[in-house]
Amino acid sequence: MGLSDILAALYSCLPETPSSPVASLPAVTSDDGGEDRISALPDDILRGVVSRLPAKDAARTAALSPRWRGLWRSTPLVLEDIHLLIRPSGQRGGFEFDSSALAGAVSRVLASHPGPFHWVHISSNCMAGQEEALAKWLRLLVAKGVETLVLVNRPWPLDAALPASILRCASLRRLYLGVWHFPDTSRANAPPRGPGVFPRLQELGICHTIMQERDLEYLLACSPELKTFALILSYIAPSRVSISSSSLCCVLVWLSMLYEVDVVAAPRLQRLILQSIGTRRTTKVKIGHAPELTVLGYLETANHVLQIGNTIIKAGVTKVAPNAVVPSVKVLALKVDFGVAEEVKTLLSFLRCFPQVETLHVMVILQQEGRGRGRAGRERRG
Amino acid sequence: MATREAGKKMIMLKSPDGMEFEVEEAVAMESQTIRKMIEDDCADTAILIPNINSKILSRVIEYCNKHVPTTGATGAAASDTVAPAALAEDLKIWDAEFIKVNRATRFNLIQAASYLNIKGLLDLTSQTTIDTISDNSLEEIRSFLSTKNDYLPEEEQTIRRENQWAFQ
Repeated sequence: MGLSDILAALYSCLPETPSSPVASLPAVTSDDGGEDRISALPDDILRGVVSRLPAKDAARTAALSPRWRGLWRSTPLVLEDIHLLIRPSGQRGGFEFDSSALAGAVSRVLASHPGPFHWVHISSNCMAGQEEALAKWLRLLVAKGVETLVLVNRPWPLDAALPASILRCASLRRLYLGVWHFPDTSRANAPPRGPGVFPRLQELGICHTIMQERDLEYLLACSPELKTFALILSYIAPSRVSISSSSLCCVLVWLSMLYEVDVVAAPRLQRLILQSIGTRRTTKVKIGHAPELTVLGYLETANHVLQIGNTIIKAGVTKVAPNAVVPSVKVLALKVDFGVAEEVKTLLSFLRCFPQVETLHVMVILQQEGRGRGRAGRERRG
Repeated sequence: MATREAGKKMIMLKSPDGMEFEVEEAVAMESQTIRKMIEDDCADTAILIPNINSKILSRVIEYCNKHVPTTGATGAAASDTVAPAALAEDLKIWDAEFIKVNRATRFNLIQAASYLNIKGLLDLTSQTTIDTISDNSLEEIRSFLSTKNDYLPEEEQTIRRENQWAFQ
């Protein structure tokens, strides 16, 4: 995967914008005698309109008429930095790109809105040389109560340091980080581990970010309400993911290269979605305490070693110990090359561990056509 | 789907101009306002919907009918069996047709969606206003919305200075 492919994959994983910059519906002609019905609508509806505008358009509405004056400031901020890029006059499509101009524009928006910040999405800027701006943003994000934050360094340097003040954003409900070097949570400037760090965080996405295993464990331990965790495009570190969480319902390990995915204790976990990349690395998938696990896959017969409890599931073993089954799994996905006898044996061993499967997805890997190219098939079992 | 009519609880909605609409409870509950009334047991016989005339109310019901989540025969959520993308695309086309109305009707629909608390309908009806404001000059927006600029010139200058970044 080249850098542009990585970026494309990364952007496809980010949450969708709530504001709507592109005209998508037919304009309607004025046919009611020039009456200003919009301004007659209650504040709540107008705030709803303002919240879905690009930040610049939203702030400008204050100058329309006195009716609109305080609305932007009293509407929780929605900011997408891409809307702050300046379109060169007379040209369509392309944007002039100036890192420090964009960083300055982001700073001005964050400074001029009193908060709360409902949605801040900063993903268009290269953060090399913008450390001061970044530190300022984080101060403002902490002070003004950011709820959803997407913060992506596009994409240079690949190990730009994310300030530890990210760990002070206690108001966060949703956090996506991309292309950073995550701060060392064992250092004194990190808040002590505990549920008070991210008490409201429900969704966490870590994309192409270098972090240590213990920092990931810290994040899970500090997020008592976390429902969804996604590790996306993780190549170097962490190389092992260990899941202990009493709240997590969904774990996604997407396009990543790991040595181990270990579900230690996740009593509410329902979905464990795995999509590995590359075939050189063997990944151990360990299922410990996950009594509600319903959806699992892709398990790969070629590259995955499955361990249930303390039992490693080996090819050719026909008798399965009762404690090495996961009866809760109803939907199972597998990748297999039927041309390799060993893989077929592994497949049979895997299947024995999930006796209650109702839907089975099988992606058939055709070795002759090159690695990684597969044909998806599907069958149902009663 | 064949059993859709059987065993479904029905709710009567009344508009102030005296029209009555019998709808499935699930459809009516697309409105968070009505949902709350039903859940609080305030909806024994008929629910009077104030301020929304029968013409607008019938359109709101049409919208809710289309948007009520479909469930499979077993009652399970359809997400595992039906391709949600195709369904969403179909709804989008339907929405675009639905909102081809004159401005007065659209504003009445915004107000109805707001009172009845139907998020999807509120988003849809607000979209044209959002499109009008996006990327147009203040003068153009004022003319589209028929908004009078009641600011004194110096007041407007102050506001422009407060958020100068937005006017560059």
